[in-house]
Amino acid sequence: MLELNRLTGQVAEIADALAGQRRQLRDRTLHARAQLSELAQVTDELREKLALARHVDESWRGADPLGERLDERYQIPASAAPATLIGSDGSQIYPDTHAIALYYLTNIGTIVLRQGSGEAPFTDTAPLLHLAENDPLEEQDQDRIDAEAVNLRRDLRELEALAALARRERESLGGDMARLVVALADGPLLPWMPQRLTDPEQGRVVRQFIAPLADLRASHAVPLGYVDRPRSANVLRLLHVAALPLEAITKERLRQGNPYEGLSDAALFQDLLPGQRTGLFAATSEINENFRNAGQRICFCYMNVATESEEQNASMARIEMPEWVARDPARLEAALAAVWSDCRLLNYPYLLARAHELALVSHQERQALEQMLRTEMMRRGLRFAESPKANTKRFVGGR
Amino acid sequence: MTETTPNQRALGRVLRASTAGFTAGCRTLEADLPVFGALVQVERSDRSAIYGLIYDVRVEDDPFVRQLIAAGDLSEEYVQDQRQRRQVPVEVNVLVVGGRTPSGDIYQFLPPQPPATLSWVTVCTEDQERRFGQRLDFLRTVLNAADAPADELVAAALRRVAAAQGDSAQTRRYLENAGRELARLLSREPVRLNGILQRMRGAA
Repeated sequence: MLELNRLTGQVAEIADALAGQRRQLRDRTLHARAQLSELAQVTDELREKLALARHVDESWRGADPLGERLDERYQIPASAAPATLIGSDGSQIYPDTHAIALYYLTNIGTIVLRQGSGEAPFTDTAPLLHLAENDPLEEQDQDRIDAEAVNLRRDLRELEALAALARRERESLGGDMARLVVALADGPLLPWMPQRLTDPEQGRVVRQFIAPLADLRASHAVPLGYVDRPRSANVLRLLHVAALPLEAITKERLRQGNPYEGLSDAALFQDLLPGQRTGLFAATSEINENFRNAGQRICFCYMNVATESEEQNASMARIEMPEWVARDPARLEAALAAVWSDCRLLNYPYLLARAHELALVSHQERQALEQMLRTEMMRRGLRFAESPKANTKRFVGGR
Repeated sequence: MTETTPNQRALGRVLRASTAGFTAGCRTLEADLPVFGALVQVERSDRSAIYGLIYDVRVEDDPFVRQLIAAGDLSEEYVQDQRQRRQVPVEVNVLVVGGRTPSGDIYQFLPPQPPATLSWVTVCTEDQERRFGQRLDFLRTVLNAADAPADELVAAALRRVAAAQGDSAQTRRYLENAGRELARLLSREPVRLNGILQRMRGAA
């Protein structure tokens, strides 16, 4: 139990600390914005610096600008031709050694909304249940599937679901390529790779994630990854390098001397007007190099999806897309206009809110699933035992 | 035994139940479904049934919907998504007023058991309303209902059953007959009786 009365003093202290932090961040952000204006021109020297930064530190997570200036801004039109929006999101039950069986579940929620049709969207969920150990129905490269592996499988299924639905939508349009089909993923398009993966394993994961992107391209759809409240700082790291003399770019300096540590790109660009986006950048990372080699380098921009002006009302999103979308400005603009219109209701894509709702596995549903498992195991005469810890939790913490 | 969707108009499924009443969950509100005062039934596998009258239709509170209302203008696709696709059930409360035996005899007293959860609840056809309305014993159950707005419910149910009788003359005759039965049941409550009769007349 949480004795709230013992926390009142600590809560006040935390609030004071947050207020101080906020002031300090504000000052540093203003400084970063001034630097951005000053160092905005993308010169040959800057490109040289970026190449050097990548060379001295392969894991440097900076940004490669696609445009000619770092402070470019584009206004997305408030109205656009109706598009078909496809969204997906996933949830999971991680393997739990205290549960009755070592299993895991991924559940993908999808929604297809045809703007301007007046029809209810198509919605669906696709749950998949697997054993986390020696599953005869699944290829497993580890002895036991852990939480990171479950996340990777869930993310892949989300992207595959988008690709399958985009193909179906395009088919149902009878080959009409003019209708814009936007496939919106919840989160980044670049997978987060667990540290333990070997190079061949990473290569396999990259191939798995690239396949649906290629499918989406074949369906003439626009895949976008939507990251709400992004905490990434790729552009700030780029700014750090831009301010350094060439000879000062060393691994140590990149890792320890960043004056923007603790700031985020979202704060840097928070002064975007409603519907404005930044220029385009490509994240620099080994994984993205692999994606680039397969023709699917992932680029991004930041966008304020709010409709009300004033900086404090800004709702910042990082929007990721493959380079072939980034290099098609008209289609990108139309896709962002469609996403922005979907954000009008919630300052966040309605589509993703619904996909999340569809995917979500509630505590009660999880309990019901485990009851089904228990029954089927009993039918087969299998012995099962929940750990004493799980049992205890059930009667002391079933809230 | 596998339960299939009934061929009559399905309202929804039983969420919770007691002998005197039950609550059904349905996915959407359509123009004519569910309607206050309508006769509904829950059929069992032995062909027996429980009859009840809808006395309350409730749309559950939902934070998502609340946020959309605050957002203002909504495209039709969003409205239809909320109405048709989201798992926010409309709750329909039903007062049990009788039943049907496996051999087809209709009775107007409480059934021996409540309906099972997840049983289908269907709206009765006009023919079924007519057959059920041949007796008026159910009026006493409705008038004594503690949770339902009894007077409104009696009037609404009688208007519906009367309309199912056929032409306007048959409808009028049915209402006059029902009025006499109500006068007998409410002989000590003339003001209440008068209120119900006025409500019945409103649609006659």
